[in-house]
Amino acid sequence: MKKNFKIINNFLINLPTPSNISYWWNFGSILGVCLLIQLISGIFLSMHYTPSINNAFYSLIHITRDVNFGWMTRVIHANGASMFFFFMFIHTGRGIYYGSFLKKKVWISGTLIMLTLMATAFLGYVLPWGQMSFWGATVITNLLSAIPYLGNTLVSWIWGGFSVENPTLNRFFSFHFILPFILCLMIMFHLIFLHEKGSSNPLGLKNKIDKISFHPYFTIKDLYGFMLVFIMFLFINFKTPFLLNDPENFTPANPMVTPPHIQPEWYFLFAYAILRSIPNKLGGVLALFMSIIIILTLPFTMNLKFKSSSMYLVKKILFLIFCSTFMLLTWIGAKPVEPPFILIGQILTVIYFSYFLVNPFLYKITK
Amino acid sequence: MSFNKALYNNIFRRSSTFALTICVSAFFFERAFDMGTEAFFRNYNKGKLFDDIIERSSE
Amino acid sequence: MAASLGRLYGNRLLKLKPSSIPKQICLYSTAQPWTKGRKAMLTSLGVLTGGAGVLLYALENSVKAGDLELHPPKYPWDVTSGLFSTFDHASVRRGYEVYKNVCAACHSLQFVAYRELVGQTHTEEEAKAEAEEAMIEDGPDAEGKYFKRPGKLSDYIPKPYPNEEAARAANNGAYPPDLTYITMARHGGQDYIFSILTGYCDAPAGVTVQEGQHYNPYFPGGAIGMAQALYNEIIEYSDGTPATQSQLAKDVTNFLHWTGNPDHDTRMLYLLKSMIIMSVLVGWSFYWKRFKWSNLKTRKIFFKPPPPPPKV
Repeated sequence: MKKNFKIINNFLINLPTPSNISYWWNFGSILGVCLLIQLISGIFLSMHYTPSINNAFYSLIHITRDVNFGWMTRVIHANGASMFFFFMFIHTGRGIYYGSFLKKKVWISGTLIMLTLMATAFLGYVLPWGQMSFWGATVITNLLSAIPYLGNTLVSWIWGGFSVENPTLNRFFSFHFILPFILCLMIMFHLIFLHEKGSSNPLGLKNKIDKISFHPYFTIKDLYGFMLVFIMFLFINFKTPFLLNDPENFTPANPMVTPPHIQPEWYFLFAYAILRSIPNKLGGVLALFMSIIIILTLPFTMNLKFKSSSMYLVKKILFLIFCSTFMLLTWIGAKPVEPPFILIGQILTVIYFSYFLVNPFLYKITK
Repeated sequence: MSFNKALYNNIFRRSSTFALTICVSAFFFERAFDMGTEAFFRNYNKGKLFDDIIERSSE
Repeated sequence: MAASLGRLYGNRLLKLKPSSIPKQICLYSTAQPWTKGRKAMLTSLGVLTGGAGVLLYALENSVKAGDLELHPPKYPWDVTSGLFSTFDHASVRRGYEVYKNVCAACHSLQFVAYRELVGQTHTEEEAKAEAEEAMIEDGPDAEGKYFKRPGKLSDYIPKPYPNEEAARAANNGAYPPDLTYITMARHGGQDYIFSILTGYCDAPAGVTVQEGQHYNPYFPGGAIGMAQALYNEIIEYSDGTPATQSQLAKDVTNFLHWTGNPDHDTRMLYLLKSMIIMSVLVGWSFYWKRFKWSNLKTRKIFFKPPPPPPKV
């Protein structure tokens, strides 16, 4: 018991924290709240959900129409996923800008958390079994067929049949349920690794002199962050709950009718745009995975004196270009594959990756 | 000032009375808050709500 | 302008920041030895990138000649008119009459039960009477036979066709979709449904519409299987509202948006409640944060050089 208190004490109360970390450092704790919201709402949804292709869509309608507060649980879970990604992108961007990636173990565990979260969100999106769920699952699982030699075997192994059908939905539900718990474990490691050396700070300087205790300063700062997030989250949930939802997903899945524009949720659009920019199928799939995994190269290619990008005007500009590229790729991902958008997408893909390729040579420019 | 003193001595000083006050005031606050917001809501959407249209049609 | 700004902010501009850190950062800045041209080049690069983004955004929002369908204009719906606006339940009730007398001939409304009308469009007695008008297939009875009985509140609104094949066979191969979530399941939502219902016109020159199809510029592709359903005075409203075509279309669109969002009015009430409570909590936590941090934010840091090493 005493030991447990000691852990809490070391994590949340007496933890020495840099005094100068800005509001950009709030997003870690906000992501913890996102996970909590998703876990709780998800458990309640699973009590009424039926993972079968004949009933999944109708069980969701049952949840929204008949279950007490079912409509609320459902939109919280759906928009909560979007919120999770929104803040995770900001959190990652913070890490890239301020050089937090130099803590290699934290960075690698964080990247793995992001990949796991993406897998979880993809699996969860299939569960309502609407048109976009079904066709999204079909398109994304089909990507694996690009793997030479093993591809087709792998795809039917994942499907558990010859197309996306009942076994696929069943196993997606099982994995969607279990992955968040694995995610919790990974987040614990993420935190343990972080607390080995403590948080980085906006100056990126080694800061051992000016540390303050986590409580009351950061408990209350985080609380303020939570309140801001809650008010925005509740506003979206109550005023425009289906803002980010694709209208196609209100139609039950039909393997005979392909929707005119198949596109994933907004948080995958950047990766989807990169995938479609590469003419070769295998190359596209590789680029898709590389778009996330390439952030792992950052700690190994960084060779500048100061951690934080705020010390280098060039890095600031490059980072701003990177962010706008990310947003423009998200926009391109929602566009049909037509002449102006194909070329724009390809240029943006090159700019996206070149941010990481330029990184090892920055010391020459910043001299 | 004496009010604050009385408040402290009679309510905040002991955890038992403090907790009781919180529970009792939460009950009354929620009741008042719900009635207040619903009254505003009914006034805001006057003439559009079901109760209003039923009154109108039965006249 | 500048003078009043100076009066307002002069003191604050003069005041030194308690932290000396920003000045130290200036010393570290790698941009100091740069030539003016280099700074200008990098700035213009940034401006160009931002400008390109703005241009793309402007293009995205202005040029929409990509496809041949007409995008519906935005209409002022009851639910979008104000922050906490509910449905106009009188309109929803009229919309139910339109659905029952016009749409129900081909379109199902399979997820709506008569009990859901209670307290939304009809009183309990009225909803019971509505349910009893419909004959619902039930069974099997004690002898294993299916039979028809008058509907109850717990019954769902019956479908016009037993299955999709029967619906297609009766409608030239076109399937009339279920209408429960129709405003949610179409791009453009209520505006689209209203525009479809009122947008029928003769096909323009050069466009041929096949037998059994009708021209509607709002429908993707232009040729829609559904014939124009709403005309002036096609039904008579029980509350005496003049049944013009646009009135009919507006009411039925409102009704169909309600069937897709039966929780909408509750949501608006919760929006009001949660915004009040959360603004108090945001304000309180903001104050608490500033309060707790005040001693840290107002501290002064001095650099005390270590004593010089003693002379030997």
